[in-house]
Formats: sequence, C-alpha cells, structure tokens
Amino acid sequence: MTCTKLTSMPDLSALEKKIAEAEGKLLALRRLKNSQAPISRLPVEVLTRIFSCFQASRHNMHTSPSCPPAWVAVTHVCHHWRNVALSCPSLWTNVVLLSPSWASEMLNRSLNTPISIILDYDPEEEEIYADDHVVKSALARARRAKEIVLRGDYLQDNIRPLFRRTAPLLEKLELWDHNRPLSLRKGDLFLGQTPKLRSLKLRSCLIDWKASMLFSPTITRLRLEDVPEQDRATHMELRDILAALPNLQNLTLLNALQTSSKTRSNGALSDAQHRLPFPHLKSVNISAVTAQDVSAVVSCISAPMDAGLRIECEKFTAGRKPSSSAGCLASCLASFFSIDLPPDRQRALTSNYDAIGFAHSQRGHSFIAGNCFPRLEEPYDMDSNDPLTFANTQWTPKVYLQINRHPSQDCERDIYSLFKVACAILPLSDVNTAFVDNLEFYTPETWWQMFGKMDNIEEVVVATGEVYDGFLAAMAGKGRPSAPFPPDDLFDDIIARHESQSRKDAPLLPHLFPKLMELALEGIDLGWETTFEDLFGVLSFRCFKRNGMNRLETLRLHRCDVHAEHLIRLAGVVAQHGVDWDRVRDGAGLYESITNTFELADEDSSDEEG
Amino acid sequence: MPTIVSVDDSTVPGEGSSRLLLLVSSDNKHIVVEEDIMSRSRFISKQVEGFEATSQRHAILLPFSSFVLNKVIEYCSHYRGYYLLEDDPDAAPPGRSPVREWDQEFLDVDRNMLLRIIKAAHYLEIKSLVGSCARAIADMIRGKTTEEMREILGVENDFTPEEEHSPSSKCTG
Repeated sequence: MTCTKLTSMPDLSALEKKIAEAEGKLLALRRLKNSQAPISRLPVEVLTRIFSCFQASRHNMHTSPSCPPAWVAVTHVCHHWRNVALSCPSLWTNVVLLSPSWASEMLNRSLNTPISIILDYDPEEEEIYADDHVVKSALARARRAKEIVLRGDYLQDNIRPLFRRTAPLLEKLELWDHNRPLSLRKGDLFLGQTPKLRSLKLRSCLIDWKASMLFSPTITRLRLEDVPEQDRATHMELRDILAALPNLQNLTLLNALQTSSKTRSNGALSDAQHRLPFPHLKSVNISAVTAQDVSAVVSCISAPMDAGLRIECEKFTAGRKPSSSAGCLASCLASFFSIDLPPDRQRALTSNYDAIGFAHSQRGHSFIAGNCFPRLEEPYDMDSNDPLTFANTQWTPKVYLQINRHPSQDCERDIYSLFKVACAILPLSDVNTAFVDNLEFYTPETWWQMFGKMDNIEEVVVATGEVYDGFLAAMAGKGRPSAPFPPDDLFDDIIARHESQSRKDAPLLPHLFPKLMELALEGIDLGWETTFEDLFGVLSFRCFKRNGMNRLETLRLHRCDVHAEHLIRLAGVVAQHGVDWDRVRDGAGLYESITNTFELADEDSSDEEG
Repeated sequence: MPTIVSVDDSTVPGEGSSRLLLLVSSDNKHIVVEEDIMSRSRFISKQVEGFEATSQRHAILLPFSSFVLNKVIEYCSHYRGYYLLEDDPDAAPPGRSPVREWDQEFLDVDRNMLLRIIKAAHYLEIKSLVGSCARAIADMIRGKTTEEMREILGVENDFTPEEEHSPSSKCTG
C-alpha cells in the first residue's frame, strides 16, 4: 500500500483568518453596494430630516419602561444610517422619562443640545410608575431644557429640582398632577429665571400668583386650568399678571377664575379706561361659573379685531337676574369686538340666552349665540392648536352664522341686536353657511331683513320648529320689502366700520339665498299639508338654475316629521332631476343618500311610515 | 399648472419686465418659468439677486432631469403666493405637521422619484418640499421592521457582528 503524501492542510487559525478576511471583503462590498443605493446618496442633512420626521411621530415617541422609542429602529437599518443618527444630537433630545435606561441614553447622546423632558401618562389609563431617580436626574438638567412636560401622578416630590435650577432655554412648561394639586408655592420656580418662556400651561396647580415666572413678558400662550377654588387669583392679581404679558397670543382660563361672590378683593378687573392692550392676541377661551366672572376678564382686554373669543358660563344667572348677566356679557362682548351698541340693545341682546359666544379662526369665522354650543364642531380647538400644525393646514374657508333662539320666548326684537353683533364681526359677503334655530315665528320680512343682502350663502340649516311658514314664504319670494331697505339702521354702524364691505347700497337680492345649494331641515314638522305644499313649491322652483340662482343640489331631512305620501312626491321631484334610482331601493331608501340631486339623509329620520 | 414654455437653445427670456427665468435641466431641456413661481427656492432667489447685481440674465443650470424639475415647478406653482411656515427662515423649526393633503397626492410617486424630488428640493433650498418629502419617506417606513425597512429602501444589513451587538444596538428593543 502506498501512502500518498497529503498536501499540507492550513491550520484552523489560518482558516478563521481567511474567513474573517472574506467576511471583511463581503462586508466592504455590502457597504459599497449600500453606498450606491439612492437613499444613501441623500445628503446627510436630508437623511437627518427624514429621521426627525420619523422620530416626531407621536406613535414613535411613545415608550414603555421596557422598550426604546420605536423610531430608534432607523439606527439598525445600515451602518451609514446608524452613523448619521448617532452623530446628530438633535435626534436624541426628546427625553421621555418612562423608560429609565433610554432616558439616560438620550441625555448623553443629546450632548449639549437643548432637550425636551417629557413625562406624559394618564394614571387612570396606564399603570405606570415613573422612576423618581430618573425624573429628578432629568429635571436637574433644567438648564438645558427647552421644554418640560410633566403629566402624571405623584409628581410633587419629583419637581423639587425645578425650584433649584434656572431655566435659561425653557420655552414651554406644562404641569399636571392627576392625583392631587401640585403645589408650586415651595419657592420661586426656576429661581425666577425663565427668560425664553413662551408657553405656560398649569393644570390643577397651587400657584404663587407673585411668582416671577408668571410675569415673563415672553409668554405668548398662557393656560391655567382647574385651579383649586380656594387658591384662585383675585381679579387684581390676574390683572397684574396679564399686564405683564404684552405678547400674549392665546389666553385660556378654564375653571381658573374666582366667582364674583367669592372675590377676595373688590378691585375691579375691568376698567374701560385702562384696558390692557394685547396687539398679538389671537384667541381667548374662558370658562367660569358666572357671566360676571367671564366679563370681568374679557372687559379688561383690548384685542385686535380678528382675535377669537370663546366663553362659557356654567351658571348663567348664578343667583342674579338673568338680564343683569346678559347685559354684562353683551357689554363685554361689544367691548371685545369694538362694537358700538346702544345700551338698551346691549341689555336686550342676551336677555334670552344662556350663553353667547363667538369664535374666529383661520379656517373661517363663526358666530354662535344660543343656549349653549350645541351641535357644531368647533372651528378649531383653541386650546390645543399647534401654531405650526395650524400654519401647515389648508383650511376650507367657511363662514358660519348660527343663531339659536330660546324656543319659549318671543325675542324677535332682540334678534336684530344679536344679528347686528354678528354682522359687525362677520364679513357679510363671506358668510356662506347659515344655521337658524327656532326662528319659526319670524315673518318672511324678518328673513329678508336678515339675509336679503347676503348673497353668498350656499348652505342653510333650519332646525327645530313645528312650522316654519315664514321661512318657506320668504324662500318663495314673499315678504320682500320694498325700498328703502333696511327699514331701520341695522347696517349703518357696520357700514361705517367696514366700508369696503358696504351692503347698504347693494341691491336687494331678487331671491332669498340665491346661491343656495344645500338645504337641511332638522326636526321640522312637515306633517301639515300646507307646510309641505309650500316646501314642495319651493323645491320645485329651486330645482332649476335661473335668474342668477343656483340650483339646489342637496336636501337633507333630519328627524323631520313627514308623511310617506309626501316623501313619494318629493321623490317625484327628485326623479325629474336625475336621481340615481339604483340608490332608491324602497321607501327606506329615500332616507339614504341620494346623490346627484337630493340627498335625503338619516335612516331614522322623519316618518316611520316611510 | 405653471406657465412653462419649452424653448430652443437660442431662446433666452427677456430682461426685466417679463420676469421669466430660464432653467436648464441635466438632460439639457430648457424650461421657462415665471420668477415669481420659483421664489420659494432660496437657491433660485439668490441666483436672481446675482443677476440683478450684474443687470444680466443667465440660464440657471440645474443638476437634475427635466422630469424632476417639472415636478418641482408643479409644486411651486401650486403654492404660488401661499405662505408656508417651513419656508420662512425666521419661523421656528417645523414640528410634527402632517403631510398636506395635496402634497400627499403630489408625492404619490415611486420611491426613486421621491428621492430624486427631495434631492432636488434640497439643492434648490425649498424647505417645505424637503419637509413634505421627508415626511412621506418617514411614512413609508413607519411601523415596519428593520428588515422591511431595508427592503423598502434597497439596502442590506452591513453591520459587523460586533456592531450588531454593540451597546448602541440595544436600540433594537
């Protein structure tokens, strides 16, 4: 047997070396390949921007104690991405305190970049126990903080560092302990050093009303909410604070005002001669117990014409005569909006209303007056609007006029005053939606007087009433007053104020609501034969485009009382104008959406016989 | 739609009154566009300022294709006259703003096109468009696993075993 000499075998270490070399080459090739991928060829700052967007998502920010923020996954995609992410301190500035290990990691990776310290959970929904040590350690870096948001429970002990550190970069502070009122009276927060503070939101806090922080002139947004009743600021204290905030843009006081009966100081907050000027004010949102409390604050504010105001009173009368509350409210509204109403009209204005409010927004304007703010979506959430998001949102302009009237009282006279206020605030020619409630007692003349020169209304909602002959008659052209119109001075002041929007010389429209395209009847009793006939006549007339009139495209009936027979007749009108019959399956189908011409909405509306 | 006129090489927009710009793409397409439309681009604005200083007008050469350039012009035309916070150098850095509805449709393009647009927007210094593209890309990978992200973005795992298990990789969670 011959033995063949084996060729020399490489030893194990050499093999491992070769494998390592091969792996190294493979890795280099992978990196080269990755570097050629389109995504890798983006400039670093663009990549960083993408990461920022990814990180900014609320979904990705949320962490539980055991998990890192979801956005961190970008550091695991490839070598290049990790390098970019780790070398960008600004990506690591959201220090979410729910995850102790990650909070420390973020504090380190953010280097010296300004940070946001966030502890945000609802103890009623999540069983979370924040690590006190981590919270304190993060708050000890208050010098670096541009934002501190603490919303949780049992925070009192944790916020101690805030009384020992200055916060030269702090722009936003938000505090809310769900468990019990947070006492901020242990000293001067941030040693009174918050030169950049812009947004201050304190909820359920015991506040030292002399604290320097409250007097930071840089504040643009102040929100005080649910202040314990016994610790609310006196009117004078509040006035002093507001006087120190000339740059204020958003003021929100919800359950933060002393009730008039409990006012500690009798110092008058409002003084017409000394109203505080807020040239940048955009919105005021106040809720309080009585109209007097609200009025006390609103009356001391001198705001730009386009500032928005939302007010709510828990108890309109609060033991006082309603007329006194109403007069008080009307006068403060008139002063806020610089409306020159004669005193008797001011008194009349709100005597039949439990609340009255106005809201303006970039999206449009609305005027709401009534027993409450019952059915409308808010134009926007004045409390939480993020100016950044706001500026990047494209709103559909909608100018809404809503007039609610107390159904049990005859306040026809007041409607003019009310309407006058609305007209002074809303650009009349811009009003494109009208909601009118409980106006069934008004005559056709009333309708003409109110809307006879508003030629851009495209949608009308008439709600709640047994009959509404006045409306239908006006729609049919009856009651159109002869010149001169209007018969009183309804528009005089408005014209003086808004010359460019002058309506006085505008001709009375040939038809009421000439551009009407959508009509909604809500809670209307159409059971009366005559009423239905009137409606039917109006609809038939409005089905054609003529004499500068738009063609009615949508009719919505919501909770209306109407005979099935009448519905069939309505369907006949609908059919003549191109209804999609496939969508009208049976009687019930009438209540569903019928496109093209009329839309009879809401299945459970109107007549059960249908 | 923008006022875009394709012109011959020899055609140069007139000076002054018409306020037209001649943009030349990398594929040598000449696109004439109103200066006003492109004012959102800081790069173009700076170029125009340069022209005004020399009281001469020149073509602006751009390093991306006419296809991409037309997309950018479409964007600028749509927002002509609009104030967009992100383009305001004095404004605070943009926050968590969502992608605008129109932008969403506008950026409903394939991945590579999206990357080309963001690159062009970066070059032209149109911050709002960079922002919208960045959000669109972030949306593409949101909620995805690392492996899915790699697949979407066309990259491979190129970490060494040590890197994969390094302290910084505890971010995997």
